[in-house]
Amino acid sequence: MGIFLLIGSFIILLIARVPIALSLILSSFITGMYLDINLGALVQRMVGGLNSFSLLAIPFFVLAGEIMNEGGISRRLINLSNVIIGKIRGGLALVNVLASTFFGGISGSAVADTSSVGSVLIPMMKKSGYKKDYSVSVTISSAAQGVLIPPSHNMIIYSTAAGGVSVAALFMGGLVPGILLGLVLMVIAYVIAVKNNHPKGEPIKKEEIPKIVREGLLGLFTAVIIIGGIVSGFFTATESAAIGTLYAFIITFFVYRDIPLSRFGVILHRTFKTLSMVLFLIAASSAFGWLLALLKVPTIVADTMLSLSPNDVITLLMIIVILLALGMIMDMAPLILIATPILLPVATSIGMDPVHFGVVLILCLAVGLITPPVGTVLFVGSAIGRISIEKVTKSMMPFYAAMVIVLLLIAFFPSLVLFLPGILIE
Amino acid sequence: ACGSSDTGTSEGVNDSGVARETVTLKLAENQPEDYPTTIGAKEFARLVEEKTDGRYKIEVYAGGQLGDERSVIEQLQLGTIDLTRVNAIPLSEFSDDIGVLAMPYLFEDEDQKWDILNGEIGQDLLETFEGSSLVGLSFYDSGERSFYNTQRPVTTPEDIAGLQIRVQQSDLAIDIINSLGASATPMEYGEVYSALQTGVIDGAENNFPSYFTSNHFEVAKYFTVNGYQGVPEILLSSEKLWNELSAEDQEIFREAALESVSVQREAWANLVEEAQKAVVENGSELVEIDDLTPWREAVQPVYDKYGEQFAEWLDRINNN
Amino acid sequence: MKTLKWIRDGLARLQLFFSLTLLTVMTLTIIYQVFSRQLLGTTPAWSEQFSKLLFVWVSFMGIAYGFRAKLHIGVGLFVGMLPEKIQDVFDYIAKTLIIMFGIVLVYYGIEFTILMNNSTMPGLGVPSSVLYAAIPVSGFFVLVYGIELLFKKGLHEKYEDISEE
Ligand code: NA
Ligand code: NA
Repeated sequence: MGIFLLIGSFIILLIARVPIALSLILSSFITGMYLDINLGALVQRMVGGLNSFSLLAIPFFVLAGEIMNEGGISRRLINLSNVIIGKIRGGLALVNVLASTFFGGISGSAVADTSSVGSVLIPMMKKSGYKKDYSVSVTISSAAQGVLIPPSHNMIIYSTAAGGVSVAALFMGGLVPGILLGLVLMVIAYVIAVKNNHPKGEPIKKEEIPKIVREGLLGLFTAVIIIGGIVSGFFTATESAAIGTLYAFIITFFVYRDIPLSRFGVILHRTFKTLSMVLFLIAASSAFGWLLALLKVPTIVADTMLSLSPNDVITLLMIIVILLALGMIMDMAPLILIATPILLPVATSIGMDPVHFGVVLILCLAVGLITPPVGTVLFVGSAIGRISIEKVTKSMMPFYAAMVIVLLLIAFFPSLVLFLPGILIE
Repeated sequence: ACGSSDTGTSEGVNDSGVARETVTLKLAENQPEDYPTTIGAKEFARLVEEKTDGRYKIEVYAGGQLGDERSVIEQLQLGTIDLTRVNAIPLSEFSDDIGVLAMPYLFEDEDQKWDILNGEIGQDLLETFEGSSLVGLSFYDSGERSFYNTQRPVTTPEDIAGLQIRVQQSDLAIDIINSLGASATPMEYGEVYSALQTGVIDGAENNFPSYFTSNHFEVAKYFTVNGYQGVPEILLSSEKLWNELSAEDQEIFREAALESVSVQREAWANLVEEAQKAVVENGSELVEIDDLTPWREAVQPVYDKYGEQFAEWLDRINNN
Repeated sequence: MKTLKWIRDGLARLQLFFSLTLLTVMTLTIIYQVFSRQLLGTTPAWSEQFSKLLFVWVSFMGIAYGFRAKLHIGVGLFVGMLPEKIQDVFDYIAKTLIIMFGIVLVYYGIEFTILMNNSTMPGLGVPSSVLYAAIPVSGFFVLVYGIELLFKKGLHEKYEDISEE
């Protein structure tokens, strides 16, 4: 009964357009009252869910992203990508994917990627004769791909939810699948470009190239600091993020100098806004997840799945289908926190490495970001492209297919994920 | 279905023939299912159920499902979780006295330690939680913590001087390391492996099983068996549950807690043996210390600093 | 009415300023911790716990601020299909729930904060209440902003607004 009340009231609140985080915490309160639990316990769980040093990396990733973004990093990454692959047919679409791969190396946020890279490239693509829906599709699928590229605050949330899986290993584990997915997206974009006779990119003046490359690489070095710091073990995840942010700050205000130092207040404010959304979700899911544990849901789900499934392959497919389905209707951060304690034991019981499971989970939920009915990145992309969600979704089909293929590849070939952490961290 | 329901009627007669409701209690444990403390907690649960003829059933939530140690303690204070097993270190934030158990080289040997913990002094220590809405039931074993490092075999305090040693975040832990001439680096546990590997730190300290399961033995080969600190685990009840129990049932819970200690300690001893065998097979060098005197002397500054604070307990332990 | 508006906006501005200050101090604390360890060779015992304390405060301030700035997104799929008048009704229900949420945070937050006055935070030595006081304080702002929302239209920021800012 408790389980039905918890999940039922959550769904009802969700349908009634109550904010997701509020729905999570209110359904927890309702269930808490039914179970005669002091509501103080749930309030304590909200704090407990946040009171972890690893999670402190999140404000830094967000801050670094906002600093670089405001200071013109997106433009520079786009220019850099343009120098590298702009000349090929369908150049702008390829640039879009590559710029997102780079962007993913600095920020963990697909929404930030969509709104910054997208607001430059979608209008550019439209002007060059690409169709609106296609431009948005390329933008959002590559933004979702960036979630796999380290650094990624979602990996940190997973690391916490999984009880301290190594962040360094997760970051390295996401790199190969992320790049692989990027390449697959580029191949698709190229094939479509040839078929639809998309234009090549505009030529770049030779004398501008050194500056473009230098400034682009300077920005990308943020990623090297953050990822290098963590993988080398020189810094903890949180410390790396802090140092990366400091570097981004210096590059933006003392090297690029597109914006005055006085803009920092705005950057801080925007960081706070983004944080308030993410952190409320984390706090609320933590209380919700605690009740699920109290009601023994993880054990029930694990037993049911394992008894229904004839073999490990089917179990893994079941996990993927569940995650894709949940990802369609819910946001990433709360799902990581709620699904991990439930599904990780199932995954490990069929011999899956927690790092491998983490990367599969993140990719499943990344697909969820760009699928209707609830897909934050899909929404933002459609809003920027000023086009309906239905139209974008239709033109997304080849990209969905690509993502599912890559998903199955990394799910059933664990070495794609585990190879890099294996050589770099062991 | 959840929570401890009213137990007011359960006093007295067992065989009155009246079918009684079973009260289900929740015990939170942050270690995995097969860990010695979990085994101890399950034994406690079994004994309680047996001794109360099934009037009480205790469900053990292992693996940290209900939160980390600190959160669980706070949940006990609220009464939402009934029982837990936690280490004495986080508990020192809830009872000043319990911190005495973290003092270095506190006991003469294992036998003295368990005589004291299972005896009167131990019981008195467990009663220091009054006022924190917690009731201590018994002590469990989590062995002795020792130093290990990546650099060299360490036999005397002189050998460890100058090394960067990771510690838990507490002033006492830092003071102990510094008194030995090493340099204390507080750091989250999960970061220690790569920090050892890359030389951010030279060593850390822990018991055998943790040295093994954390894989630190892969990167830090020199393990000095000098058991400098043996902070026990504590089985706790919430005050809310305790006040709902009849006097007889309180007695039963205490008995069960004390009886479960031997099963827990046996499981612990087995685990230590396994871990020790495994790390040696993997090439770790165990540095045995015959005479702990130089180590005891080296940590004297720690006693100078904290001695007064724990004077009453130190006197009782030393005069035992 | 004007005075009321002035107080209300002043309160919100004060809360924002307070939150951004906490965020800045938290950032500087971690940067200091890294430099201290890498350059001075010692890690302060307080820095990790202190930055976690600030993080919890920032988060709870953000929860409240997010309601005022309409940042906490909902799923508009079903309600969005209904006539605007009915949508408004749903928004009013949600706003009432926000107010109730604020009340729960204040009530249970205070109760829990008082209970935690007996224990201390490791590394800092201050009572745990300092940490948990974030709950009722946040609850107070949730309550105020929730009431304020009753007099505003809508509850969710449109995505267009985010992108063009
Ligand atoms: Na990323
Ligand atoms: Na893109």
